[in-house]
Amino acid sequence: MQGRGGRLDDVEATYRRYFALIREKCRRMLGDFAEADDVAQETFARLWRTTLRADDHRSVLAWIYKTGTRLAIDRLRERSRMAGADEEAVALVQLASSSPGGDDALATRRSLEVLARRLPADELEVALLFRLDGLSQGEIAEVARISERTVRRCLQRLDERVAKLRQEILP
Amino acid sequence: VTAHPSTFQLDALALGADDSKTAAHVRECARCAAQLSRVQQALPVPGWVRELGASRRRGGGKWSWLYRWAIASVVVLSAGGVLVRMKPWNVDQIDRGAKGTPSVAVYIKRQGTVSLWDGQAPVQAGDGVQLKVAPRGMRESPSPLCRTGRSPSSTKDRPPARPSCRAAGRWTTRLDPRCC
Repeated sequence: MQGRGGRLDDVEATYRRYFALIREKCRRMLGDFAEADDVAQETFARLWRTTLRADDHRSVLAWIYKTGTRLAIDRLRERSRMAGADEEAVALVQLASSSPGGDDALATRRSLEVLARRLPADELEVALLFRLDGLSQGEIAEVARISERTVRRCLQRLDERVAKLRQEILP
Repeated sequence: VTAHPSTFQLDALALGADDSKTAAHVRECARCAAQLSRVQQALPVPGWVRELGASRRRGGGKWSWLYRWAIASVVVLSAGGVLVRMKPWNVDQIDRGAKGTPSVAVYIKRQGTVSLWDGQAPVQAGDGVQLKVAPRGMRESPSPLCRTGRSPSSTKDRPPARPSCRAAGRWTTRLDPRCC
């Protein structure tokens, strides 16, 4: 799998090594398997075009998390356009009561999907990594290539935004 | 924060990370063990993956073209730079010289016949006068004609044997009987 320069060099070996986890990550974010497989395929194709070192699995994994999340956000935003006010209200209540990486991942995913159009991309990215994947702030910083302080600020802004939306939408 | 390791930790473990704490958790947690087995399953390689590999071997893809253009640009710019440096840029070597004297020819049109004015024959009222300034090289030096109401000035140089309309500035006028 490793070429002269250390680049991913064997497409089939790369696929066997990474595709299952890419697909799992996309299914976790999108729910819909067919759509998740599309995004996973796109993520893999982009991975194949990178110059990441094949022996640096952690960097490859961080890249997969970042790219897969961003591609999934585009899909979530498209779906979010069709969400009604009542769905938003339910999502806001659910987000306020759920815990990151908890057993109610399905409901959390649905809530973030409904609110996707109302959340800035960076906050949505951090929210998906934090609440859905259960990543620590340090891991999010590693994946998104930002500081942990920025991650904390982003999560704080997200909480404030959700609280404000609750005031606006909920009676 | 959940007691479960993050998916990132589980995926890293699946890729071979040395993480004894997570590995111990997976051994006791059915949920995390299931997650780990899902990302470690062997998948059959579909055709689009082979095509993806073949496209890189062929040198396909938009980036390869970008690289080629970038390399070609660098080569061309480098070659240009070398040529510029090789050619001595000395202002003294620039072709310099005094501005050439323009050839001014005056043509008289009288009763439908055009002839070159010799500078001596009187110009009559009703004559058509055409002034032609033939440049030397690319230089042109037009001069006003009959501005003061007098006869046109004589030529400074010999005019070209055959008047050329392409390389010369021409002004044609008809003399006013009152000024001649």
